[in-house]
Amino acid sequence: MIRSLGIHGYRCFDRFEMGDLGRVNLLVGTNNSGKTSVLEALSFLRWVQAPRFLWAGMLRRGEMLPIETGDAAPGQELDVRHLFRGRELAFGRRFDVTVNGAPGFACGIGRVAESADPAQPLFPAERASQVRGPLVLALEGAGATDRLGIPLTGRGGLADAVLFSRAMLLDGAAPPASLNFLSPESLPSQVVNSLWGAIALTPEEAFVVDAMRLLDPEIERLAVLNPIGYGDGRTRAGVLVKRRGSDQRVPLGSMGDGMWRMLSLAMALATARGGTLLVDEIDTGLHYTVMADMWRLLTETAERLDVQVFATTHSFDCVHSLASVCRDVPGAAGRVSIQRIEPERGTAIAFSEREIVIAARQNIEVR
Amino acid sequence: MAGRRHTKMLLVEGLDDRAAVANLLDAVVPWGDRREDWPVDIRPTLGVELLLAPDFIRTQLKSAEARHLCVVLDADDDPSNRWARVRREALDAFPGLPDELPADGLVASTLGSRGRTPPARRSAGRSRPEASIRCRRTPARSQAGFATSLNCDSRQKDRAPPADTMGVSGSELWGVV
Repeated sequence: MIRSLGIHGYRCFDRFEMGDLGRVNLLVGTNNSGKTSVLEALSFLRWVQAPRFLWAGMLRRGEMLPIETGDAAPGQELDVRHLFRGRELAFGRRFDVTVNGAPGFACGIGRVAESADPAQPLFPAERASQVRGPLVLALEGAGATDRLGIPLTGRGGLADAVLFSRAMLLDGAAPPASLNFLSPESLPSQVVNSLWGAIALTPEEAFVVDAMRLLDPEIERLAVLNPIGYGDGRTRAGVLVKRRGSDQRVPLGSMGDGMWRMLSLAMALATARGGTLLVDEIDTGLHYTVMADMWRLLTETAERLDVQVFATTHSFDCVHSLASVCRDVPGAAGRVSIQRIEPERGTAIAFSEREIVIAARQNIEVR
Repeated sequence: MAGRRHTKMLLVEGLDDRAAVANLLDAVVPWGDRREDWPVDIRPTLGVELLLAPDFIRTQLKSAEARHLCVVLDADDDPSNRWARVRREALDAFPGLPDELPADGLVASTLGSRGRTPPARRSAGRSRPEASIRCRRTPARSQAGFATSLNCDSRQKDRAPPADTMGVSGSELWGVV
């Protein structure tokens, strides 16, 4: 379990600490306070997935350099300067993520000697100060061998295809992922299809169907078909449900955003056993009347599957429904926390389960 | 809650206390008819035991909105005990608060500009760095009491309130019952 997290130099954070973390943690704060950045920092802690989450985060944020004209085969380049506080592209810039007081992940602009293995960059900066070599994006994980250098282009960009291939190489050699990151856009059908392979005919299949029943109690069964032939994988094709009293197979995509969101949430949780689930804007698409049940199911299942959950929200209803679960459902100490992110403070404001209940009863604004 | 959100909160024990405090304040500061027009949001709780329950004031201090938090308590029943319970709740933000509330009051600040001064926290953001706490007890000529004003706003300067008065002065809230 992650009990405390430190972020130094990543995006809007100079030095930021978050402590008293629980099994389920809800991150709140104003717009642009860095909630998604905290989720991203958490995602880097699993080394084999770190390059992929780095790549996905920059793409999601649209952090690309302009495509140069005249290039025979123009490739997309990621603008890595945005990863670092101050947005400067300079040798030695770095950010660090610590977990429970120990180094967890580091990323910086390093160098590699001309003849050296690019996968072994000179990093941190002190060791590379005497070397004149090309710049690389240097990554370090917590393990002794967790080191990776990815060459930067002449203008300091990171070729999208290069990072993607490195990420897939690392990811493909790893055991099944136990860290899932659910963005506000939820899961594309190709990912749903991939995750379903780990869920079908296991006890977690019933959990996923139960989660769907929070929104539509008439759902009896769920089937996920191979989306090939049903679109390009980015549609919501391939997921069908059977409702009580009807012989029709109903495409889930025809039933509204909330249904797809709940499916994504349930599947991401069910496949994160023993790991971490990160959910950006967890309330997306969900009506306030189902949020308490969603939290109850999520906290119970996270406990059962030994998953630690970090989610963000702006929603008043989302906070208060979590408070109702804290009040009504007994749980172990340290089960739930709310963390308010204020980057200028340096430390998140942590609310314990008891404080969450008091805040809800007294109409104290925690966001 | 619709309308303007208050940044100044004043916690009292009950509805009677809210009326009494509002009447006192009305004599010295403009007081609107609607709650959102009040210069301070006076919030009654369900009695002193709830107000002094573990984590209650501590949670109020963590509010995203409150920049000033004032707690008004009757001190006619074991004031030392009540101070001890306020102190316990405020210790996170004001380490070093004295066990006993001095007879002539207390101004404590993490800046250390006046009165007894708990040591400033060194780690950035552990508490609002310029927060101050000020407490004052009235003479026992009538119903005695003390008010604790917890200044949560790092932008405010540390100023001691006048004695035996109550009101809102500029952006600083202080009070004595």
